[in-house]
Amino acid sequence: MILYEHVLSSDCYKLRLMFDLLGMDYERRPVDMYPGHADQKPAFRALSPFGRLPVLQDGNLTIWDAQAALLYIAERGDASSSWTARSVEERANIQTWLQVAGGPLRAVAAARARNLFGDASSEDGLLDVITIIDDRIVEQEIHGSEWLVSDRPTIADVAVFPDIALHEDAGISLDAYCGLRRWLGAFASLPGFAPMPGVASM
Amino acid sequence: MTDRLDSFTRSQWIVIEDDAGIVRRAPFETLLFSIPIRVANGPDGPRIHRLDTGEALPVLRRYGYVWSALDPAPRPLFEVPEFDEAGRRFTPCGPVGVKTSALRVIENFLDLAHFPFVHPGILGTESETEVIPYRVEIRRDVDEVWAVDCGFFQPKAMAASSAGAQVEYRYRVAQPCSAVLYKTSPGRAGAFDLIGILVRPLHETACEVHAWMLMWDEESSDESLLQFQQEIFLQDRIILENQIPHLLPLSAGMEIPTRADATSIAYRRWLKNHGVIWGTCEGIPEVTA
Amino acid sequence: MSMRQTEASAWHVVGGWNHVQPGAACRVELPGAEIALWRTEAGAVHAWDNRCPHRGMRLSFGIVKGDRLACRYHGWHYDEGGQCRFIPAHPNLDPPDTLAVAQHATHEQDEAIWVALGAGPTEPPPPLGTDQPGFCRSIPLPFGADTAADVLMRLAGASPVAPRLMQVRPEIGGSNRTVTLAVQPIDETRAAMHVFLDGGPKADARLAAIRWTVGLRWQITSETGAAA
Repeated sequence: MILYEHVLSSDCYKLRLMFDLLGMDYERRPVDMYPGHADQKPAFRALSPFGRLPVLQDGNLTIWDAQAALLYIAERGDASSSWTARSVEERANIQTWLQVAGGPLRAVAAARARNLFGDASSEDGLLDVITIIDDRIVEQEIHGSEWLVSDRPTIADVAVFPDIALHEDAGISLDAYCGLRRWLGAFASLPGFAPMPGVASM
Repeated sequence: MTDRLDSFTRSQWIVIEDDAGIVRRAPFETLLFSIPIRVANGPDGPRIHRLDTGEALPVLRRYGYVWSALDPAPRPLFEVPEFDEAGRRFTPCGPVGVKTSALRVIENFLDLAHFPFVHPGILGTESETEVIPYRVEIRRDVDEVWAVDCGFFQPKAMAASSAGAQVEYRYRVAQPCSAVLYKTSPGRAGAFDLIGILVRPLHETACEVHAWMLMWDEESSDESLLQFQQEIFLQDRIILENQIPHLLPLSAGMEIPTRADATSIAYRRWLKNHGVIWGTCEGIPEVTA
Repeated sequence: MSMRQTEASAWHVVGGWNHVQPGAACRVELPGAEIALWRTEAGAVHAWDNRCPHRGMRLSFGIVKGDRLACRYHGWHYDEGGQCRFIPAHPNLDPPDTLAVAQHATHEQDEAIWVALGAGPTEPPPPLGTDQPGFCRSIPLPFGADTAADVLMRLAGASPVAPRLMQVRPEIGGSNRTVTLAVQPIDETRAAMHVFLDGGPKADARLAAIRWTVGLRWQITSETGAAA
């Protein structure tokens, strides 16, 4: 598979993580998102109509949504189906957190882009999404799990991890969110895990 | 806040934006030493004004960047003769915002000892952490701080590096907010590649960092060169924003250096000798942030 | 005695037992102080000034190696007494005794981590309940500790029982139970609340108390117009 990506993008990190956690080989094709804004140029828009990174290509298939690409990598590369749903209930729960990753959590990525590159951003709902994910982890811990869904790491965790792990870049303190700090620590202990620049100690 | 702007800092040319950024962004508003300025581009080139007084500021175009200053008659800009060498490849890496003093950014750039811990697998490795003694000198003719004969083992010293290597470094502080490093080029035997950072203070504890590379490298793609440097700088950024106080201490006692910090010690002393206040703890009795 | 002296000499709950796990470090704020709270891999908890003496890096970003904390920036090692033991840039150097980080008092009791600045009071902190209190949840509060006490009295019906401690008996899992709220002061616009439940380690009751806390948090958010 070919990954069109940028080293500083949290959505691209998400897919690199999935490849690494599954021990899969892939080809990285860097795109000059910054400072060149190549992701906004017509050539790239032919691949990704919203002008967003990452883009995943597998043969004739082109996937330009990070959550869809994450699911695709896991379904292709994980013979044991450990990272994806094993039941209807799990699928509903995983889907919920994938939607959070592609929706409200984008506020964190936007705050980070503002701090790094001076992009305009709105902070609406920024702390709400942090709080809600922290609540989920703390409840899961009472049930004896360290993970967002069920009792094992799934693509739900991979989808949410990058933006939370990059909280420092976004100017968000996790001092008060000890559930999130424990979850980040558990995730960073997974075999195959690799950090990216801006991922704080855990 | 500008009452803390000392004359030495005020008289320096400060980076505003790279040439491509000017074309893409202008007109835009930004800050220079806490003063709002407006940057416009016209047929005669960039024009920069203070927004508070309306005063036109001096403009200089050099090394692929546009520079300005609050002082109407800035000191001459430092010389980098390597920019005139045919065959070198120039890559500006785009501005990155950092919430700390510009001087903390420069000091980190001069530091060898953090490579194994902040840039593991790239600029250092935890199995080779020792900093071999090097020489630091103040070059009186150009009034610059230099560190020479610096050596470090690096797993992947540059984008074009194929294996780990013992790399020779020279560091140069050309202005309080501008520094250049010269390191062994993997692309040309006996030559040095240049990496520089130019920092524009937005406020005393917030700045915009422009990194550039001037290299012998015909192999690497633009994208991989950029991302190599951006990855390294973003690894430093999280350190920089979490050094406290954000203002750089110049007086001995607040922070404890070792011999490996000889460049940093000389840099702090050089700033103090020039009466630099902006971005330092000087004149602040009890610094907490 | 000024407010600051009172706070400085007092014990403060800074989190539940799992606020910092063995082998981890985090940042804790108290009025006028920023602290690196960390546990050795064996589980001993320490509260230090959050600043490496070398170049000011926050030690809360540090990496725990056994019973030492290593600074994230240059890898300097500090032992449990705060004494620097190893400088990687000079592997053969014996660091001088003057290279040390200032420490603060810590105490673990009732599933809470307590910190007092400096050497701390001679007496231990008060209990956080009367019947096997256990930790449920911490939440940040977007106002100072004095306002926090007023808000918790008004919105949760809590009553003060000791300095910075309040109690309330809400219905938790079908019966009324004693909940102790420990308020951690930070500065004039921020505090934190740590919630403890009487009645021993019962998962259902704890989950219900966590949900009660979350409900109280949304109520505070909506009624004070502050961000969560």
